[in-house]
Amino acid sequence: MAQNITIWGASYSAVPAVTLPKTGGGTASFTDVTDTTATAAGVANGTYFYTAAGVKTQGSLAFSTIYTGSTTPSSSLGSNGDVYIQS
Amino acid sequence: MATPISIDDTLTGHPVSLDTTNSNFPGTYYNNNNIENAFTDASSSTRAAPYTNTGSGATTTMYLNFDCSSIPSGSTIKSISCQVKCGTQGTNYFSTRTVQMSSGTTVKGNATTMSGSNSSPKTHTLTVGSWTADELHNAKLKFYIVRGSSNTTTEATFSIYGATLTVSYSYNGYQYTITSSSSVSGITTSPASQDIMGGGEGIVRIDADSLGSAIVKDNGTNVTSSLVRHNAESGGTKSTVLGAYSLTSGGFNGSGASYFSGLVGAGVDHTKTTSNYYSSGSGTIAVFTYNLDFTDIPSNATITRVYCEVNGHAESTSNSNEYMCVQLISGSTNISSELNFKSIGTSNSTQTLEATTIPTLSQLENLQLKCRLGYYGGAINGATCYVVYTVPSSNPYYWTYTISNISADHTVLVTTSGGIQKIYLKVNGSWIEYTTVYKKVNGSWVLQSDLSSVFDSGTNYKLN
Repeated sequence: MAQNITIWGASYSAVPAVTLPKTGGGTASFTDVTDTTATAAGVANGTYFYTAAGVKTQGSLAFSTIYTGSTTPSSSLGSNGDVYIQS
Repeated sequence: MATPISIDDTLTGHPVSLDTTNSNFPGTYYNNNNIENAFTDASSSTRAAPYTNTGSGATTTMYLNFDCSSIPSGSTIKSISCQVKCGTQGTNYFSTRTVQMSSGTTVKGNATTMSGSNSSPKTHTLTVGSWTADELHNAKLKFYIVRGSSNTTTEATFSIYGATLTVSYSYNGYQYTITSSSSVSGITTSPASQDIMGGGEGIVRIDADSLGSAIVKDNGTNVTSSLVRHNAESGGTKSTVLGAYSLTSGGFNGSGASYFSGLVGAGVDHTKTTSNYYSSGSGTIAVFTYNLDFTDIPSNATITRVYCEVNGHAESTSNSNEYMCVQLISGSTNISSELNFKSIGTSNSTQTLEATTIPTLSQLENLQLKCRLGYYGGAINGATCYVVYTVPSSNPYYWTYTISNISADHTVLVTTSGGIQKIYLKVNGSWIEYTTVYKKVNGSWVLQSDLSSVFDSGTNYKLN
């Protein structure tokens, strides 16, 4: 989503992001994320996202894995609840 | 109607047994005369020689049974042929010497006179008459011998070298063929129904959630049948005898060492009753283990029972330091409780150690029989360990069901096999069919027999 902002008295409309100079050189981009719909339950466990309020949050969506193969599965493969489909 | 099956077959058989109920031997009959030689075909060259009684008019009746039980009731008997190779000791001994077929004790066809001799038998083709299948289920060969008025002071023999019965028959019965399918789309598992189809016009439809019964439509009439779904499994029991033993570190001391050499080679069979070892000497304690080998058990086996039969005895029961204990272990895990032969007595006996914890396949690899003996402990003569397991079949299900009242005079028992469940994965735009699915449970891959329960509701899945 974009925002209307004012910098040094000048107004800018529908700005999705700004890029600013960093101390010591280079630039940094800041993006408006107020329209995000991501939730922890919808983001894979172990990865992070930012809420609409800008809070860094870890996802909690867990998956069991479906493996495929032509031989019987190795005992070291997978975790409890995983499925192995043998052709 | 269900699909009729047609059998057009020929059965060939020979006498299978002596009918001791209906046979009548007034004298000594077949002692040492190899009656079993009569249970062969009509080309046999070995002789059975039953005796007949002495005395004018003495009668011997002997029946030999045929087994025609494989011919279905209701079959149409197209032809019967019976050949008998036989003879008698001498024609002047007998006034009657006939052979004839019978159903039970009711004779069929005509009696044939045995015309050969003991040493030169003849093969007779009998006149058998007409038969039904049910009559054939009680088919016999009747020998009827009556002594004449001369030469009656000595016993005489008649000879049976064998007989052959050939029956041609046809049968029209019912056969049901059952197939089933259960499709799974992608990783969603909610098959709406399983359809089981009866052959011909007989149709059975089974809803997935009501496999306990079925409706068979037969000639427009609904017939309720019971249906049972089974897991199709092949099973096995593997046993092993004990091999080498090893001392547990620090588990042996005392003056019993000189007796320990007797242990080598012991334990190969729990039926042994010769003592091979006892621990003796004040303060003697011995702990040792036998290794058990179950490496041949298939990796997909499900262990259902583990037990060990141990033969031995306690040497004495009078002191608390006197004991002789055995136990199944795997590493540091106790597979069975410890059994103390002291509580059994000082006589040899075979005791069963039952696993209280069913070991995993990996635990089986380290299964051992642990023996712990105290002062005047006892003897271990031998032991045998058993593992009972099942192996899932590649065909996960079969059904049996009984259909009754299809018509007024039929009860049909149908046993079927088949009905493989399938799972489909969409790969590169195409659905790929699979029937072998494992699920990891408690760290082990378990072959799934019911594909409809492979995926858990509320769990997300991703392809690796």
